Amino acid sequence: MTTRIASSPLYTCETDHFAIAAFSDSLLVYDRRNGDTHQLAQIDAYLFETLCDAISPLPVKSLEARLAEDLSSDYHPLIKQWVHDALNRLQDVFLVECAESTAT
Amino acid sequence: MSNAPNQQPLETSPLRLRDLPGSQQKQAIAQGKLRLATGPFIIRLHSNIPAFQTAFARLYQDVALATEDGYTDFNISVHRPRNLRRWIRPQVIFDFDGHHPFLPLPLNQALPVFEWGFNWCIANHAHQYLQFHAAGLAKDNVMVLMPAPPGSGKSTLTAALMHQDWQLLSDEIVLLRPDTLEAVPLTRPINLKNNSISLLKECFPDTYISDSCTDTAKGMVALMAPSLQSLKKQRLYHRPTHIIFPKYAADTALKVETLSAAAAGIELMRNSFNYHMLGESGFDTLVSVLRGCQCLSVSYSRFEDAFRFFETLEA
Repeated sequence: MTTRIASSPLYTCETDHFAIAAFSDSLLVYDRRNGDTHQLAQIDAYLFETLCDAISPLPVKSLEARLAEDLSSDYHPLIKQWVHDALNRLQDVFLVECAESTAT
Repeated sequence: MSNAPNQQPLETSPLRLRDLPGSQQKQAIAQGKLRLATGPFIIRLHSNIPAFQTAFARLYQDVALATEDGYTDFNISVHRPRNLRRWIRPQVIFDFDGHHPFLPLPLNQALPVFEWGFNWCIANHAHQYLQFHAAGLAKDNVMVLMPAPPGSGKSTLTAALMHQDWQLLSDEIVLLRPDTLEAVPLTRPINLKNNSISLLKECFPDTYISDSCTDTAKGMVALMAPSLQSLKKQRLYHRPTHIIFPKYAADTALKVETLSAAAAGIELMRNSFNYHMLGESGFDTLVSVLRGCQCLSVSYSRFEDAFRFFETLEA
């Protein structure tokens, strides 16, 4: 899986499998594999950057480390929960893909 | 990008159904020769039910006739099936291009059966548009896309706003062109249910509302004719500026809340007939619409409060 410059000005970033559109207050993710659309709410700029980093092709451990780092930061508990939920929602998919990518 | 409405060329006959003498209207329907231009679609209608012919002609009297030759999008027939029920509890059946997508219903429901069947035709065939189960209204450079679940009072509010000089684009299905993001007017009768029928008859006594049909799957239903002003503006395409989720809440003050774009997007997606069918181009259209809109939820109990709020909307 690779993160690439968005092919459409509509997208904030995209991968082979996901197209991501960020709004000032929230995020919509389109899953190209099955056509599902998901929302990630209450996002701010820093968290969005985190999310974009998280979906870049990092080795599994780096992604886990990044997630742990975010959760130990000085954010309000609700925000931490959001980061946790948001990354976890995508993590399962990305971990598998990153693992496959690392293996090859 | 300008939000000014985009005037489309006229492709229909300058004649309206009311320009035919009453006997010719019924004859054309009885012979299956009536072709009407309803929004972007040309329908050919046939019916052997005299009461339906009369009610349809009254409800669609200001709709433009289609030019004599040309493509027909939907060949529709609403007729009595030739079964034993002809004699006891007669029925009506909806026919589209020779197919019967629905079971027959009681004969007195012929008018709503036509409306529901026509909606089905559009929802299942017009995939050149991203379709939303929503109302669409426009005034000046403002266009409101108003999705809402059944029971939220969407049609009632839509009917009331139409009488406040808002252009009715649609009460049931909003058609969005993915290339221009414009809503294509589909100006048809408004589907009223239960208590809203008597309320709107009282508020707008000069507007034609069909006889009520009781015991339908949706309760008691009646159809309100679209305003002539809305039909005259049917070639004006608008780009949505606001996505508003209305909710009638008895005895409450007007309450307006901002929704996140993503939350509104998910709700819009749930209210779309063909979002999943369009794949990523559906997502692109959805995102583009959301980028150009303010997303709000509005609960109200009094028309006056809702009218005042809608007048404050700016492109």
